[in-house]
Amino acid sequence: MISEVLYRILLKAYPARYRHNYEEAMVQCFCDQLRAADTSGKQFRLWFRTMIDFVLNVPARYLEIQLRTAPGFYSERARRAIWMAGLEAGSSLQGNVEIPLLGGEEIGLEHLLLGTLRNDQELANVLLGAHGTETIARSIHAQRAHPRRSLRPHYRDRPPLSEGCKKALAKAAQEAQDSNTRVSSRQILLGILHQDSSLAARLIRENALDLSCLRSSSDPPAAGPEV
Amino acid sequence: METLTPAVFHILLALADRDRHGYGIMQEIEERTDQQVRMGPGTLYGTLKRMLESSLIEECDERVDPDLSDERRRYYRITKKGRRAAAAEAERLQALVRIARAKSVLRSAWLGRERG
Repeated sequence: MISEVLYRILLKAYPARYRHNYEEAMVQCFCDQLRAADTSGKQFRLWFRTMIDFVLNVPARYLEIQLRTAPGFYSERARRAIWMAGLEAGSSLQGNVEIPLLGGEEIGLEHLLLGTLRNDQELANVLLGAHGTETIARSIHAQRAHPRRSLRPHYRDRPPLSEGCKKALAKAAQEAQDSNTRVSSRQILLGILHQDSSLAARLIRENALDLSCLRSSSDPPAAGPEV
Repeated sequence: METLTPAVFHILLALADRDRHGYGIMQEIEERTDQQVRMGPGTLYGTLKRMLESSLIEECDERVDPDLSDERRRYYRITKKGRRAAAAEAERLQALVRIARAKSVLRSAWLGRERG
């Protein structure tokens, strides 16, 4: 019992989102190990191994986050796309003007899709035609299961990424790694397409004029202010 | 296909024959390697997280081990991609062993252990 409490205290050193996903499973796992350690000698060795595991893994989890948010990992456009997805998920008041956005408890694939398309009009035009982005936005508004969240006055507190969104971005990162480039708008869309059963992936497939442009090696030059 | 880390390869092998929860994976690896490889919860779940992101494994809802059914337990299953990756890694290691045999490295290591 004391060991479990102590282990829980140790876990507080992990990044919050990682802890949110894995804390209970890790505690369960540690308790199982503790039950199997039936002598005080075995328990001492278990704690010794646990401390080494702790010292090695806590920095590693923070390092992963650092690497994924490092400026060099995403192209400027991809970073803006994720930022805009955050805006889509929230809602914003600019001056006294409400910007009509999707809203939501977290940044989902639909937000990421709209953020990417609105941020990269050139790619959106090639992929979907001139008014494709707004067609997709209307479809999302019409088909989305989740109700819109109430307006928030400020959009700096970006909602968390959904699991689907994390997977799409991880896939985009993998695509970028495979082609030895930074993550671009194209690769984010490929990542979304990889989430086969999602509304966002279905809308791309239904509306795309030609998906092969997503595999093109060159990214259109970035335009607009840095974020 | 990319080379797998030892931790990823061990986990894929543990999941090759059945779905398992975290502690089940740990136990299987320890038994199979004669206690030579021991993963702590931090290493295990950090690796599982990366494997989930790269779709080598997936979480499953079915509780394979009803005696140990606990809400906190999360069960994992190898995906087709994971199976392909494990097979490719096994072949890569097999090719290395063939080279080691051809260069008599494996035999000399074995003789050294016998003498010791």
